[in-house]
Parts: sequence; structure tokens; C-alpha cells
Amino acid sequence: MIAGTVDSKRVALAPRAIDARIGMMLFLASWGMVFLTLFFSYAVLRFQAPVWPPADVPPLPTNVKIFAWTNTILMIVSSVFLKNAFGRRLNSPRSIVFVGATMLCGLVFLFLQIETWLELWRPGMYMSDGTYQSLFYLLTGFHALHVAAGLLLFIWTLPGLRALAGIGPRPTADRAIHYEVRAYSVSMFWHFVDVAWLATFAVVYFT
Amino acid sequence: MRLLKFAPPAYLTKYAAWLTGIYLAFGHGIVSAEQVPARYTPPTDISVDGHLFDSLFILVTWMILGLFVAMTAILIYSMIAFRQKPGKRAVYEKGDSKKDAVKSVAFAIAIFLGVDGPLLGFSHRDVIDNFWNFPNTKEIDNDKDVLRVEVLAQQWAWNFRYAGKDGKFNTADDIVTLNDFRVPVGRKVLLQLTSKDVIHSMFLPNCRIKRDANPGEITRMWFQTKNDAVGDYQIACAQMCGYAHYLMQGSFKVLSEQQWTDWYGESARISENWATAQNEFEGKHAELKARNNYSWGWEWKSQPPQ
Amino acid sequence: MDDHIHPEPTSFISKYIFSHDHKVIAKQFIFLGLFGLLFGGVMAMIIRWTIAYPGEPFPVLGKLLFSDTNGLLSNDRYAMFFTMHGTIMIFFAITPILIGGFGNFTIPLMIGARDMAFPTLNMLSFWAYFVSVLFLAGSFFVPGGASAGGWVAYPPLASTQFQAGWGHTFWLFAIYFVGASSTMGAINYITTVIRLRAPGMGWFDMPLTIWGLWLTAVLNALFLPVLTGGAILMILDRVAGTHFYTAASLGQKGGDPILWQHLFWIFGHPEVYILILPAWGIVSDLLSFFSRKPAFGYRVTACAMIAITILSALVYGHHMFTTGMSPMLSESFQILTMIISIPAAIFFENWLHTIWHGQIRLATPMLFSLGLVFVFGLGGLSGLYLGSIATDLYLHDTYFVVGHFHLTMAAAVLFGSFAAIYFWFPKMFGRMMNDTLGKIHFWLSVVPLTAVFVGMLIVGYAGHHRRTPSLQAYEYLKPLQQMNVWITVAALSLGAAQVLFIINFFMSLFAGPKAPNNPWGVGTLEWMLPSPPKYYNFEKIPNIYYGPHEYGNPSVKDRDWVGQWEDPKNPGSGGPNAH
Repeated sequence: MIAGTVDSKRVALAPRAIDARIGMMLFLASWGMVFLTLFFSYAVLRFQAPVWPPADVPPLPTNVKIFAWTNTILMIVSSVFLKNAFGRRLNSPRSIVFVGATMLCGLVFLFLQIETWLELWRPGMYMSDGTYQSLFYLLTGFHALHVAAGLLLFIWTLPGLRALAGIGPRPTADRAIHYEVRAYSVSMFWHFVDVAWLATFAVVYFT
Repeated sequence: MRLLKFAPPAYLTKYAAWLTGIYLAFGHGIVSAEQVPARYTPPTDISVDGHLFDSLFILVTWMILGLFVAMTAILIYSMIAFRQKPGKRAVYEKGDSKKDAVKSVAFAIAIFLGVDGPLLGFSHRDVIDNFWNFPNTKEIDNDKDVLRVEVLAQQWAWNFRYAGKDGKFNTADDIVTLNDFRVPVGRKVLLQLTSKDVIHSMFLPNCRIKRDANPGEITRMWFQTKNDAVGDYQIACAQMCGYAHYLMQGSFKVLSEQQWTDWYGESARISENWATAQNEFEGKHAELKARNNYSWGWEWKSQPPQ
Repeated sequence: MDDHIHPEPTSFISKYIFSHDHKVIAKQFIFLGLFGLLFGGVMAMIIRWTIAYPGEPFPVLGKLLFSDTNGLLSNDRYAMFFTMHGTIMIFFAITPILIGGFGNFTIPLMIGARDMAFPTLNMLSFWAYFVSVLFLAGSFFVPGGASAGGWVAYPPLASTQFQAGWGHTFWLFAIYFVGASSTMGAINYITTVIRLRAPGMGWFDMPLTIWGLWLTAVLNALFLPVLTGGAILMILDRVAGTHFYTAASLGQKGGDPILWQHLFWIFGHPEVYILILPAWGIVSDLLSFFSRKPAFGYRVTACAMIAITILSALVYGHHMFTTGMSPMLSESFQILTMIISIPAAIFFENWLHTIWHGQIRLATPMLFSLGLVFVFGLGGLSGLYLGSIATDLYLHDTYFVVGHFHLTMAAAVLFGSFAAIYFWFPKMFGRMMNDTLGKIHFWLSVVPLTAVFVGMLIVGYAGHHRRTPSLQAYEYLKPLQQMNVWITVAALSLGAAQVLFIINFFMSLFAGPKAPNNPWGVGTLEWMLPSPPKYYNFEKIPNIYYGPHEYGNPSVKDRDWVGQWEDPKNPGSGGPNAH
């Protein structure tokens, strides 16, 4: 029996798990402010321009838009997978399967994001060309870094998830809480990255 | 009587010795600086609105001086009168009752209304009616009522452009000066400012006003000199603009109507002659033809954004 | 409670370098901060010297540092110096001493916790901070020298076009890491206060020190990221050639240089309160502790702190009255700014009411607290001129501003830091500081300090604009030279007085008398522990029965204080841990 678990509906959370949740929420609020700052900058620069996108910037190619839509769907699906992975206690291999699915979505997202940039570089749209281009690459690039970070963090949780699922030696109760806290915190981060993408998508492609 | 027993005279003497040491070490600076009589108030007020700042400043000073003196008096009195006496206890009052809370908030609001209130009111009035009450566009079609001047700041100088006799900017008879800002006495002057490189701030201490000159956008500023203001003054750059920021001064001359007419007419004539000569030269040497010489790349904006 | 105790580390590295112990991390921060204070202070002396005595090398240091310019501070170095003076004092002196240092030290001790909620994060916070220090120190040695556009770093002056080289980019990296460090710290502080208060300690049973630090942490968590975001844009502008802050008139496709000013001041104004709130909290407590009287209107003070925290986020525009912001926006910011004087007035009222009819012990921490009230009074009141547009149009960017923010942020926070150091030194290092030397230090500080910054208010009023190494270019500034010389003399005496503090600090550290558990007779939780407290602080987490300011409680007969941990059935007995 694991002393505390992340599902508050069943068993009371271990104090450390609550600490971690609060800490993670604070971190995400704080980091969300960085995103908000970038969106604010976008708004300020965008509303100063008489025409947006500027006249000398060709419209985004159709496949870039398709990539973006696909990425949006991927992000939403990945969040659903993740919700499933942690929907119940983390003691079955199915969590690992769902986390794997989430990671796959993330990988494809990154791949498509890189494709997007390549697609735009080919006709010669670079970051240093003008404010519009700078903002485009900044917002998409900044978000992609978070996706990459999220993937690395998932890899970091995998040994713990394995141990929780009963593959290999059984963790001590203390270790188990540790693993759960880690997995849950990373999942919060991923949901945040998902929401951040929806905002980025709306800002970059629809304003 | 030794009220403050923790500052024994021996140490005070040492402090005095320290000060003497500092004075001896660096004292020549103190002496050599006394070439000019010291001044502790703003430079001469030459604008019709300048007294608004002066009087508001004095008003606020008196108000807050009252608060500050009261506070200091309480501090010092408490330090002396309420010092710990052996065996005595302080009054056990927490001030946590609702009545106390209401009292302190009411007191704070009273201070707000009493001190900040007038300040806000006067500031609002001065800004809306005077400092930012720019001459309206009908008045400024000609330079008779309102003199228009374009200001281009750069590291580390001020360029000024007057419309010349035809009243139009970016034409051959524009008068362009460097670090030499002249205005006729008593006339309203409306400036539009921008910068070539970094952010500067045009500071006219004698008119109690300043405005930033930002690259890429046009800001504006206006003032009107008093009728007896003829004389030489200075413009300062108030915003950090590089390592020679402290040298970025310009001359600011208020001319009598006669001096102004002479200077303006003569300068416009010189400008025109120069433009003619240049046109002739460029006619002969087409390969040297410069781009439009008469412009800094922007038009006078009759209705600026703000 | 989480009775999760790790064994105490034994090796030197895990005990003193990569320590998880909040008390060790606090000391690391404080030593780094004091070093920064020394560094920034010496820079200030050299800056003042240059203004007062043009053409004369600074004694001793001048020849050593600027051998290539005959010991003189050249103009470009002058710009570097005031830029770095500001940056160092704000991010590398005040922040580490009060927030990193005393935040770490007091929060777990005063709320009855064994450590921070996230000890590892705490350690990382220090080391991120250390990386930032390395970047800032390194920026002096890169070709082109350190950042030189003022600590506000307005573009385009901060762009590669006007500041080539890596100096300013390093500055931005330093800011970035300070942001990371502060965010980690803030998350830790907020969580610790929410979660690890000892049983029985409600929000309004916390010492005001903790209130100040907690609200600071909230502001840190929410507004430092704005600067981080702004810094990311500027780094990209400098490194990748993007166009966020470039101006259209530079022959480029332009962004907006004013955008940085918005971002910077959205962060910058809360930053003012980030720096001052801990000092307010500490002083509110100390005034009560040393008047032997409960803090008057404790709840109202705490609520005023909350109000000021919220207001601080809404007033940043008063830094930009002269940029050409729309008059309506300017007026709104003007009114919001003025509203701050309501909570500020409440502070002063409650402070004065606390000491009124007290039994005041004029120990060094108390003197510095009273000094803060005095100096902050001057600073706060001089802010009124700058909050109103009509007066700000003249005073903006003059020495009046310099005097004002030094009186509030620098002087007040400096006094807050000194009060905190003199007060908690026994608990921190187990030895007492010399009180007589401390008192002399106070009087030798408060007099020249007031002289320096009130002098700045005066020259500012007389029209002296900021960031000028020399006044000689202006006819109308020449009459101010004399006043500036006196300011410099006062500044040098202020600097000289700090030698007393350094002597006192190190003498007491190694040879001070051993401190008893509760030298001041104070009832907050850290004073029930031995000095210095053991690893993991509390053997048994105490139950809380009293508020933090129980002085002169008539139900206790034989002494005038009650510990928060004491049993109300038998108050004044001291409980199991008291001595």
C-alpha cells in the first residue's frame, strides 16, 4: 500500500505531494507571466503596425497552416492521453503506455514545428527580417523549447513510473511518493505547455 | 545634560577628527568650487506657465514639511520620553479593535484628501489647461501666432528646423540650426521632437518642462515665454544617451521681436541662397546629386497621435 | 506534519557549499550581498568623487583601477559605473541580503518549520544566483567593458549599435539568472508559508517580517518574469538581430523602443516594493519588540501591506510621464500612484503609535528601525512631487529622482538590512555584536546619509539632471558645484562610517561574547531555540498560542514578554525550551 497518492478523491495526499502541487502551480503562474509578457509585446507591436502582417511579408503557406492545425490537435490529444495516464493510481503499466503516447504526440509536434520553420526558411523568411518575422519565430520557438523540455522531463519520470507499475523491484513507500510527485508535477507542466500552445496558436495565426 | 548617553563625547570628537581629516584630504575641492555663488532653487522662470510648477512645488513642500516635522517630533520625543525605565511596563494596547482600524484608515484617507487631493487637483489643472494644452491646429497654420519648430536630437547635439518665410517645412528656405535654438519673446512655440539614434529628452529648465525625443515616433511640447524673458539660456538632455550625455547642451536664445525678425529673415535668405547654389552645383555635377536635402525624413504632423 | 528528517550532512562540501540547510543558504546569500554592498558602495564613492573633483584621481583606488587614464574615471567608465552601481545595489546587494538572506533565515524559524518546503530548490536558487554574479562580474572584463546605458537599459542605447560587445549581453544574462533565482526562491517562500506554519499559527499570527517577505515573494513570482521576458527579447535583439526594440528611424524595419520601457517598469515598480516590503515587515516587528509593546493595529498593517502589493502592480506608468504617453493614461497613473499614500500613511501611523507610550530600548536594531522610519518618511514624502505630472515634468530625470529613490529604496532598505543584521546576528552566528560600536555606526550613518540624499533633492530641484560626470557644460549648473562637493563629502563620510560595521561584524563573528538563546527577550519562535539553532531547527514543532507581539501582557507577572509557543495556562513560564 502506498502511503499517499496523487488522486485526492481516494486517499489523502502526502504533505509533500500537496507542497509540490502548490509549488508547481506557483511556478506555472510565474512562468505564465513570461508567456503573457511575450503576448503583451506582440500586442503592442502588432497594434502599432498599420497593416498586419506587413505588406512586404508574403502570406503564410497553406501547409504551414495545416501543420499548425495538426499541432493544435496533437497538443489537445496529448493532454487527453496524459489525463488518462494519471486518471487513476499510478500502479499499472497502462500509465506508461499513455505517457508514451503523450510523448509521441510531443515528438510529432516538434517535428512539425521544425518542418514549419524549414518551410518558411526556404523562401527566405528569417528572424532578423522584421518585427513580424521576429515575433513569429520568437513565439513558436519559445513554445517549442517548452515542448522539448517537457519531453526531457517525461524521460526523467519514466524510471519512477516503471517502478510504480511494478516492473522491477518494488519501491519503498517514501520513494513511491517521490515518484508520484515527480510524475504529477511533470504532467502539470505538460498541460501548461498545451494551454500555452493554444494561446500561441491563437495569437500567431489569428491576429 | 546628556540626553543621548549612547553617543559619548569621546566618539563625537573622533567623528569630528574624521571630518577634519576628510576636509584636509579633499578640502581644497570645497574651497576651489566657490567661484560661482551657489543657488538652491530652479533657474530663472521665463515661461508663462513656469510659476505653476514653482508654486505647486512650494505648496507641496509646506504641506509635507508639516507632516515630516510632526513625524520627526514624535520620533524624537518618543526616543527620549519613552525610554525604558527599570521595572516599568509599556501600555498593553494592541490597537486591534474595529474602532482603531477605522480610525487609522480614516486618518490615512484624511491625509490623502488633505495633501494628495490638492496636489492632484492642481496637477490635473496645470497639465490639462497649461503644460499639455497644446495650441490647436487652427492657430498654427502660420508661424505668426504659434512658432513651429522641428527638433531632431542625435548623439550629442540638437538640430532645429524652422519653416522659413513660406511657412512650409521641407522646402528650400527652411532654417536649420545646430545646438542653436532661438525663439521670439512672448510667442507660443510648438515643438515636434524625434531622435536620430537613441532616446533623448529635451529639458528646458527655465520653462519647467521636458519631453522625450524617441526614435521612430514624434512627440511634442510647447511653451510660451514671458514678455521680459529676452536672454540666453540653455537646453539640457535629461535622458541618458551615451557617455557624452552630460555634454549634450544646446543654446536657447529668447530674442526680442526685432532681433527675431532680423535673424529669421537673414537666415531664411541664407538658406535659400545655399539651396540655389547647391542646385546649380548639382545641375553641373549630376553624379553628385544628393537625395532631397530639405527633409529629415518626416513631415510636420498637424495632428499628432497624442 | 511532515516528520521527515534527513541526517545532518557531514562533509564540508555538503554542509557549507551545496547545503540544503536554509540557515547556511541564508548565510551564503548574506555574505554575497555584503560583498555586493561593498562593491557598489565603493563605486558610488568613485562616482561622487568624479562629480565633485573633476580632474583629480580618486585616492589610492584611482591609480590602481584606472592606470591608463591617470587615475581618472573616464566618461565611458563613468557610465559603466553608475549602471553597475544601480544593478549591483538592487540585484546583488539588497535582494540577496534581505530576500535571499533574511528571507531564508527567518521564514522557517519564525513560522516553526524545520526547513523550507523545497530545500533542493533553495540550494539551486543560490547557485543560479551565483551564476548571475559570475556573469555580472565577467561583464567588466569583456572587450568594450560592462553595460553602460543606465540600470534601466533603455534601447536603442542598449542595442548592439550603441553598445557593441558582450558587456550588455552579459548584463542581460545576469538579469535572466537573477530572475530564475528569485522565482525559485519565491516559490519556496510562498509554499513554505502556506504549508509549514506551526500548528495553531494562523495567517494573522505570523510576525510582520513574514508578511513582508511573503508578499515580496508573491510580487517576485509574478513580476520578475516580466523582466525575464523583456530580457529574452533584448537578448534576441542583440544576438539574433531581431526587431523588437529597434526603432523604425534607424533605417530598419522597426519595432518599438518604448515597449521595453513598459516591460521594464511593469516589473520595475513592483520591484521597488519587492525591496522595501521585507524592510517594512522587519521594522514593524522590531519597533514592537524594542518598545516592549504590541505592534499597534497589526491586522491593519498587514492589510496595508497587501493593499500596497496590489497597488504596486498598477502604477508603473508614473515612470513614463515624459515619454509621450497619452494624457488620459498619464492621469490615471497619477491618481493610482497617489492612492499609495493611503496605505503608506497607515504604516507610519501604526509605527508611531507602536512606540508611543512604549518602554523603548534603544539597542542598535531599534536605532536602525527608527532611522528607517525617519529616512523613509523623507523618501516617501518626496515621492509626492514625482507622482504628480505637473511637478514631474520638471523633476523627472533630475537628481531629485535620485535623491527620492535613494531615500526610499537604498537608504531605507539599507537601514532595514542593518537592523536585521544587528538583530538576528546572535541567532545566526551564536555571538553578540558590539552594541556601542553599533550605535556609533548608526549615528555616523544616519547624519551623512540624510545629508547626501537631501542634498540630492536640493540640487535636483535646482535643475541638476542625472548621470552627469561633470556640470561644467552648463552655465546654469555651475552654481550647484559647491552643493555637489558637500554631497560628496557627506557621501565619503557615510562610506567611512561603514568601516565600523565591517570591523564590528568580523570582530563579533570571531570574538564576540557568546549569545544566550533569547538576548532581546522576544517572543517569536526562533528565540526559543539555541543560538545558533541546530540542524533542522525544532526537535519538536511547537504549538502556537500567542501572537508575535505579546509585550507587557498584564496576565504575565514576572516579565514583559510571552513566547508564541508558551502555554496560555501558564504564560511566562517559558515552556520546555526557553531559558
